[in-house]
Amino acid sequence: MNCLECQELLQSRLDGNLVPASSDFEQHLAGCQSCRQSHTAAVVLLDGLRRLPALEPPLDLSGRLVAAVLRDRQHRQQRTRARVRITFALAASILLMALAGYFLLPERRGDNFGPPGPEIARNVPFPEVEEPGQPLAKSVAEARDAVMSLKDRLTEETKDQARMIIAAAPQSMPSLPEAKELNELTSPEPLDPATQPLLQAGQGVSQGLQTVAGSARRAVGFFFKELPLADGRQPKGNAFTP
Amino acid sequence: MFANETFLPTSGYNLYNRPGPYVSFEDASLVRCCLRGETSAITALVERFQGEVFGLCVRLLRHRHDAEDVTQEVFLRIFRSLRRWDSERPLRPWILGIAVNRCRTWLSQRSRRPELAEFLQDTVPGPEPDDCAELQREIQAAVAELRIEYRSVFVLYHEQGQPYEDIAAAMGKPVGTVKTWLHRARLEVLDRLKRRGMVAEVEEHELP
Repeated sequence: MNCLECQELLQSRLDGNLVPASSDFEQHLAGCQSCRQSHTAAVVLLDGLRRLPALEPPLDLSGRLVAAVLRDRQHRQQRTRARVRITFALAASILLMALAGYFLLPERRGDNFGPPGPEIARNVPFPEVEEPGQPLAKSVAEARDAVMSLKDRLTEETKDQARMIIAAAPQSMPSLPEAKELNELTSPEPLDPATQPLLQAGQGVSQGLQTVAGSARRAVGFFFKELPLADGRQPKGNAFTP
Repeated sequence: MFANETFLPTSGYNLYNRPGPYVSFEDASLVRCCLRGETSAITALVERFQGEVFGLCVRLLRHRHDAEDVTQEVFLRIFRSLRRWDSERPLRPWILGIAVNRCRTWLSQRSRRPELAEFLQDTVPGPEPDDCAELQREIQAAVAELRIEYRSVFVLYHEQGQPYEDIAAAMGKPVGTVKTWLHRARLEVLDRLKRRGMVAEVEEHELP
């Protein structure tokens, strides 16, 4: 037996195994002081470990531990409930805000609110989707009809608005000077001062309709041509008379 | 269920004929009752393991008051993470593993305060003055000098009588690693005992 085998035997005995001493082992211990000291120290160690006093916990430790565990459990449950409540409150508030935004914002209120532009656009019949194989000329013709229809409607509405403005003007108001184009009304030909508000209203209507369609603007211009001039003369031509 | 049952642990004896906490109670049932919040089950689990946890903490920390604080932390962590316990595995190594980890964390925090560490060195009550008091002090000092891994496996094996498999589960290491650590820990303790002259009059035939 060598020192390595002797150390393995020592570890086995320290593990608590009952290893019978062999003659080889006794012989090695007799001749090896290091191994003999190790085995002697192992005996001392095992004896000391057996005599170590057991570490008893304090008598009230169990009660304190249980109380701490229950307190911690209760605290965690309260915290969990609070988190659930906060989560539900946040979710409810978000839902409420979403519903309020859906029902109360002006874009969602109804058809009688907002500028008339989108109404006109909504009233235009939506062109049918081109079927596969439908000739292109037919689609183009439908688009042209739709554009013409839109232009006619805009013209009629613009004329109606202008007539309302003219009707609201005072009877003693002098007529506008003769002009071939609407742009000429804004310049040089002198108008009666009482006609200025009417002219400004017409310009405002014209400017407001510029973005809508060029045809509407032309209609306003034609209508202004029919107004009597400042000196009482009648305009030369009437755009709306056939 | 367990509210009407008793959770008193049955007595057993470990490797060194020291009364041990070996119990035949079904751990999974006890844990289920604890998860339901039954106070009797919580009390039973605490009473079953508090001795081992406290003893391990005292041996590793060498400070009784710290050991009480760490024992409380250990049980709080046990009950907080009880749902994560794998019911296919034994409960004791899992609990002892938590205790070892908490002690290591505590020691690392304490090592950053050297003045406190020095003050705490000898606050563990020593053995009663008798014939073997010096030997016991030497053993405790030798164990205290071990690094924390060696100390943990030494205490778990020699003072708490845990088998290699449970120590390996508690430490999160293979059994071979635990055996190596224990082997080295024993050699260091034996070396100290020899250096301190504690082995003079013992004959080799007294080995078991």
